[in-house]
Amino acid sequence: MAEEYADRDVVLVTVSYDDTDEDIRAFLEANQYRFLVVRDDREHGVTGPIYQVGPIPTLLLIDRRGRIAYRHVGYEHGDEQELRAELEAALVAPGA
Amino acid sequence: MNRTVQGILGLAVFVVCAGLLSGCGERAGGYTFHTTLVDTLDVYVHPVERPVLDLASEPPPDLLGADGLADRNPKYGRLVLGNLHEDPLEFILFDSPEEEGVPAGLIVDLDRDADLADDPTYALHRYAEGSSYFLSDTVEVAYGVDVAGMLETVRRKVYFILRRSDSEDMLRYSLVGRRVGTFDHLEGGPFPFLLFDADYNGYYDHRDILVIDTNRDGVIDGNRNSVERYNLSEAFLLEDRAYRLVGLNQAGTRLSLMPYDGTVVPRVPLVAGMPAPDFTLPDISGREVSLARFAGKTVLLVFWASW
Repeated sequence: MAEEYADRDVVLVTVSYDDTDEDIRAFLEANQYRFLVVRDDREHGVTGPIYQVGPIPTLLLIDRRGRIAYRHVGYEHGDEQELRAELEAALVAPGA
Repeated sequence: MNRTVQGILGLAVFVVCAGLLSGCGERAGGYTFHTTLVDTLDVYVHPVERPVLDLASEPPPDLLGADGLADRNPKYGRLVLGNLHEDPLEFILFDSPEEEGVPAGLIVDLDRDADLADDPTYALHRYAEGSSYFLSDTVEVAYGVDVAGMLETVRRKVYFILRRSDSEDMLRYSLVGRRVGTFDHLEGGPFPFLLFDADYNGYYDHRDILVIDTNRDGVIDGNRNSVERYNLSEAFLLEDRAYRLVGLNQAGTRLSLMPYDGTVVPRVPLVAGMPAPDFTLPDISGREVSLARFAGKTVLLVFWASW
């Protein structure tokens, strides 16, 4: 889905709470994913407090003005539709 | 976990306490507050999803005092609470005589006499229809804790949570009681707070959680993503003044705060429309990546883990 939106100036930034870079690499390779991953500490990292990350996965949509447009916690089949709608809304919103 | 490992862990806890919390005792010049035990849980806190008790398959024969247990798929386990490494509480989990594979009861050797015949039986209840989780009745247990060289006997209500799957049983426990108190006599206060034994080890230390009603709306919000939830080792703001925990006894009955001079980033609830806070972290090749680098683009920011 990220690839689908790549030509519309949408970037996917992911923060993993894995213990090692190796775990992440193995996961990306096994699934043939190629997205940006930075790694943080689950309990004592920097993103947990500032983004109030509770259950994972947690997804945030940040618009072109750098503002939080949408937040979604967890994943269930079908969540993509909601995200797609929010993404379209963010892309047509004025500003930037 | 064997005794040696427990001893090492206990020692490690003590050393870290001594470093972080000034001996986990009090320090002159701070503010000291007392807590009381609550049995009802009026905040929601996520449980730790990991097994805390090993269930051995073979109970010691002399522990199986109660009749008929040997035929009911008994699972034997031991629970260590507190920091004195006293004899663990032994217990046996057994299945219903009517329904094979359905856990029905728990006997805990409350008097620690290695005989279950004289101990009460607690029922296990299926958490929800079709669920593989079972909750026990609450069990009141007593154990000793060493608080700065003084022995304190702690009585706690505990319940057990069993998850039964085809391959294995996983049992963890939760202390029913949380400790609550109020930071009074502080600028802008009083601020009610709650201490939560987040790792369920039966005593409070720097790895546990402090939840403070910082916005004083009457709700001590212990949700994992709440702005009111703090690690006990981190500084926090109360009405623009920063404080840090400098003392905490292991029974959690007393804690001390000191004003903190360092920088504390205010916790602001995330709401739509607010600027996304920036951060810089290394990617898996070690290159530093800042969120600010993607200014002007629409960003999907995902927090995840492969586990």
